[in-house]
Amino acid sequence: MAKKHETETVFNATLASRLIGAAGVPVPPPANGSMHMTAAPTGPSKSLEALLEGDSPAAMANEATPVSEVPSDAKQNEDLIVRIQVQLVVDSPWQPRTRYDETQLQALGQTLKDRGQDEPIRVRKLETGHFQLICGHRRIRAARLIGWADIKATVVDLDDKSAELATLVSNESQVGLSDWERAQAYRQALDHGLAADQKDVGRLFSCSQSRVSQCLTLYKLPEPILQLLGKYPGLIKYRHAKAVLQLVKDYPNGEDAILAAVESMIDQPDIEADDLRYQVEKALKPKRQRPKAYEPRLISDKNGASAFSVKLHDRQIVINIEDGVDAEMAGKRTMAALREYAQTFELPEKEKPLKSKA
Amino acid sequence: MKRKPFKVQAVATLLGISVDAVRRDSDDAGLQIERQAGDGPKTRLFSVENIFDLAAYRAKKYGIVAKQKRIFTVYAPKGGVGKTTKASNLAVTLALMGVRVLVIDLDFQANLTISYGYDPELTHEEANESGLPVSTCVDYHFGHLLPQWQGNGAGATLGQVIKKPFGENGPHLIPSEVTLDRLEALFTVEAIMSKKPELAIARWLANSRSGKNKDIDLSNYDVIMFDAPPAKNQTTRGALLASDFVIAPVSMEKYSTKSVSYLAGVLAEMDAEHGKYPELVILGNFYDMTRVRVAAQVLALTKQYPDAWLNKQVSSSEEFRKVLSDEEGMPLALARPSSTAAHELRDVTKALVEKMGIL
Repeated sequence: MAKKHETETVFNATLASRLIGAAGVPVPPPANGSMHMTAAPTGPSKSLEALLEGDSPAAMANEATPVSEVPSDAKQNEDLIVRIQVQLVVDSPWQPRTRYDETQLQALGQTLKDRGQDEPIRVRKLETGHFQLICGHRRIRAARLIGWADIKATVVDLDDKSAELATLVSNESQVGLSDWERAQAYRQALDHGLAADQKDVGRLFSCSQSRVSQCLTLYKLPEPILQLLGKYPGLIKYRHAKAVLQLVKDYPNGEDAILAAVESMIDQPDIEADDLRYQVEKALKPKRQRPKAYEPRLISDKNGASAFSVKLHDRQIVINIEDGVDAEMAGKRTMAALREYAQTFELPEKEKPLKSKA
Repeated sequence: MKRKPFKVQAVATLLGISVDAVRRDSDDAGLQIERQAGDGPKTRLFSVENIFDLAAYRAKKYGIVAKQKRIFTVYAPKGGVGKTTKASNLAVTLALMGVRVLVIDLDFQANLTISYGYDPELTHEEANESGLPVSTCVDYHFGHLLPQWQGNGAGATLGQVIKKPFGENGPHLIPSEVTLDRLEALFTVEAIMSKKPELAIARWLANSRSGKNKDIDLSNYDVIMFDAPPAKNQTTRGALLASDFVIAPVSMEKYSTKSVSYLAGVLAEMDAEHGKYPELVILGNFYDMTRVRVAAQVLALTKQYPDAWLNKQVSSSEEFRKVLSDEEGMPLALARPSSTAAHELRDVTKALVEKMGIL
């Protein structure tokens, strides 16, 4: 079975030519149409803005034109400051910061609005025409918040490795990175050969080696907690991590309780490391077993009519005797059975109560 | 619209937090919450608006900011696979996670619009007669915001069009009603005049999302989602071309599997022509792994589209149909917080948020 398989554009073109009166639209070759599954595209896809590049200006009349093109010699001149479109700026994949405080961003936006931009952001140009941030992730967000169309930037020419290093280091010096975000940056620097050892990392990020080692301790946390940190990077600091690691050591089977305690910090971010331990221990302490209320059991006569219903409590037997049963006899028989049973064991000797001395 | 109030436990389930956190945060946020009347305990009674306000407050408190703004379309060429139900529930669940959502109903049958409590066929007079608020009526739709429509007659401002079914912090809605399908005719005219109507929605979004268009400013939304009708027309293709992702529900039988293949063909065409296409995400609906037929469809889909298959699914549930007769104007994810279906929807939403890199 063969069928015509025109693209929508070709179809529209036929339609157009038919109405306008032109002729001679090429018919594409028939495609194989038996039960098969068409492959979906897998390559990279353009951004919305890139799609519309070169779209007819009439259609985009109310879309602002680019403020300035980056001069082609920007590559040679490292310190050239230009204005670039905010919408062309993309985040760095190496940026350690994963959360942005909206209040702070708003404050920053207000400052930008009031004072203008003192320092240009630093970006490098990508082949796609976008600008990748090296430093200025918070400023670009603030600029977006206050609706700036363009921003002052220094465009530098860096390869991936230098860009990674520059991004990591510049962000380290900025405010408010959590211990986990730092740990990730340090680990990345080590893994990617930007630093040889922890001492080297310390030099690179201008902090002490012990601080590096403290932050990297977070990586020793159990996997579920690391996943939690992925979502809430500020959730636990080094001193909590230390407490958690000690707990993991002390209670090898208490992983769920520990995770629950750490999770509770989402709602109570100010909890101390000691409280964490208290919570875990409380959760792990065996709960007092509540005596179960037993279902009454029925004992029936030869015909299956119930004669007794017996309830077993913790240290009690309650026997209800149905009407028509000889209660006295039942009592005697029960006693006899208990006596017989009591002959089969010996109780340990009881300590004498203090009173009996007197 | 009067909806039933929510108790603390239900709110906690919806937000995925403890009841204590609900009490504390709602006090901290200074929300106006009704208390139960009478002599009994004065339990808090949350309105649906309260819940979304609380979600927004918590998102702010914990610094949850969208990493990436996303546009996506819930679409499959096959009808009855659960597109609208999924879209309506997804939007609500996303908003409960603190994401700012705009839903655009592209189906003239307006089922999504109805699922949020509106009646597209109701006239103002009828509303007044039956004592319903006039806001229950739908006067404008997506078409009114596009230059194509405006060139053909009167348009409308965003403020006139947009609906906020669950308050300021709930999902916002650009509703639909029967005349929306005329947009297709306008696009066809543009196609004949070679004006590239497939770019119309992309243009509109790029412009209104940049924040530079003061009349239509969509720069505040983290997620803009389209609920597309089961057609392969200009409107749906325009929405797809503008989207970062397309979420295709499949009902785990052969025809719906085939419809993914049709969709893949549309995407391949877009890639060839524009170098832009939405990434395919396949969402298993009416899922039941114990059935051989379902397993066979999963196999067929994951073999051909290994990266597109979403690892969380939604099972068949009578609850979805029951909610429709509730007349509460709320999708299941809100109306029945502790149902299995609602749990599955929350898991699916989390998986999608992760896949799309929203949070």
